[in-house]
Amino acid sequence: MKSITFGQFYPSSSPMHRLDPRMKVILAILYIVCSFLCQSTAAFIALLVSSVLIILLSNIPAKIVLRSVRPILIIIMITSLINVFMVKGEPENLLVSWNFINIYTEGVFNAIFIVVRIFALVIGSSMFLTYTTTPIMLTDAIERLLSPLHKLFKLKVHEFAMMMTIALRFIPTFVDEADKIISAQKSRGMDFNSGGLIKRAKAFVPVLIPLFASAYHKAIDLATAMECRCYRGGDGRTRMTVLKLKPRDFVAFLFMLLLGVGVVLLNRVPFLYVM
Amino acid sequence: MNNEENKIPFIKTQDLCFSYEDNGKSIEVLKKVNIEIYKGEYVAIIGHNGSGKSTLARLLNMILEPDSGKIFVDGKDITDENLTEDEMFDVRRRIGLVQQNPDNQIVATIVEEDVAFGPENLGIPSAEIRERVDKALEIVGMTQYARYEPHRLSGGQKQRIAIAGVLAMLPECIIFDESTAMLDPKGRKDVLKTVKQLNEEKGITVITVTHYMNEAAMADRIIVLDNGQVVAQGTPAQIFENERLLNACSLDVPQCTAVALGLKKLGYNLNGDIYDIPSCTEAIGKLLADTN
Repeated sequence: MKSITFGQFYPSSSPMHRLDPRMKVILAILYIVCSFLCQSTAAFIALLVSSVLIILLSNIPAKIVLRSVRPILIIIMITSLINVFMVKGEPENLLVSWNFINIYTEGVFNAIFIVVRIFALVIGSSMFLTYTTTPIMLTDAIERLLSPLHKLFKLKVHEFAMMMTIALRFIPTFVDEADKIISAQKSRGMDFNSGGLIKRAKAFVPVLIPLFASAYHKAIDLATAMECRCYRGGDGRTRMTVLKLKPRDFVAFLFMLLLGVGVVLLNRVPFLYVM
Repeated sequence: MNNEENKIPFIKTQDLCFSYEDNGKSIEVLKKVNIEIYKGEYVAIIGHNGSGKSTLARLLNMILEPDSGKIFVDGKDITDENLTEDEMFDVRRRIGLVQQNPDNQIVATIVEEDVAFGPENLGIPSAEIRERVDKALEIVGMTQYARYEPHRLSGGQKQRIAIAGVLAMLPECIIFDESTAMLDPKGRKDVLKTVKQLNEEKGITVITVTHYMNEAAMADRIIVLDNGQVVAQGTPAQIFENERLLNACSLDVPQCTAVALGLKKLGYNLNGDIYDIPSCTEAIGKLLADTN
């Protein structure tokens, strides 16, 4: 259990991994916007090509990429089927008509577009963020990106990021602790592996209570340790690592803008089908 | 550095009292404690569980506030109501604390980030933080673990990271509150070696709170707390000589001293102050040489 890495981070030194985490957050948002701008077949082809490029640039094995798509496969299938059967197009575009089922060209294209769009959404967020950025870098990036909000609206950005950091830091500690408690309860005759769902869930109550109690102790100790090390919130705090945007970050940003402009222009290309 | 009465003590407490409420009744933890700690000293505070030694440690760097009494750091009264927040944080910077549980005092997910936590809070410029972190890790011998995740380290290594975290704030004094109690023998040895080195080479004042007599024996001076009061102070030799006092405080003498006292009772005349392995082996060796 000690070797667990939280999140889905895949260690590598690909171009995508080396981008500034702040830039990756921005790029992920822009990419999602791009995927919603797409309205024509040509634009969706561009989106699909860019997704494949992004995967190649992140150096993540195809097997792992597909694994990230798998959980939402059902959603993709249901939404695309609904589109195929429910979308009503122009009468001259009727493809199949059988009893009460009418399938139009528009429906088929809409279904395909939705599959591509959802695929791009998942790839965009996972390739830019979870797979290529450690959770801690992500937290850090969000803190720095949102820090203007602290000045403008007095939002507790630093405090929120600190909470996230501490939560991430203590996950492995609590996993260890839970292991120990489970062993201790097993040695007292606790049975975790039989009975129905409710019985099994109930069996975990004697694990959760000691875990909760220990979390309180840890919190008090940690608060003392932080006070001893002069922690007084985000004001006046400096950082050891200073994130600096490098040329490659600007290049990546430029490419993303190009994709956005390209998608908008491609929306006017009357190729196959335009929404 | 002992017995320099003409110097001002680095830390001095005056009639320090502390109590807490438990189920509506107040429990006195410290009753008029007067101690003095001098710069560069290695002081051990010993006492059994509930003697108030950990409370005392937390009062000295202002994590807790006393009910009454005063604490002077470098001649300045830190219990003064007019003490500014900056002055309070400066006291915490100068007097660091390393706690018992190695897991519960590491804040960041990467070793060097954790060591940087203190200086970051102090608002030190980035380049200087980098320097301090590298130096602190070097002092505790953990440089090669700089990029590790803390949960992959052993207990002793985590404690040394905690020490490095305090060192990066450039403290003058470090309080160790039973910092070796949860470690295995190897981890304990490494941590104690680091502590001794800090005291001897860097001139950092060390206050160690412990109930391990072998660790107390390493100190220049021992303060014995019992029931919230200072019952004895002196060099390890002076303290361990008084077996009756230690027993009355539910404390043991170090193993080596116990051996020496046992031999004395059997009629063997051991010379010198015996409280650690070198002094013990020397005395027994000398005794054997004499009898032959």
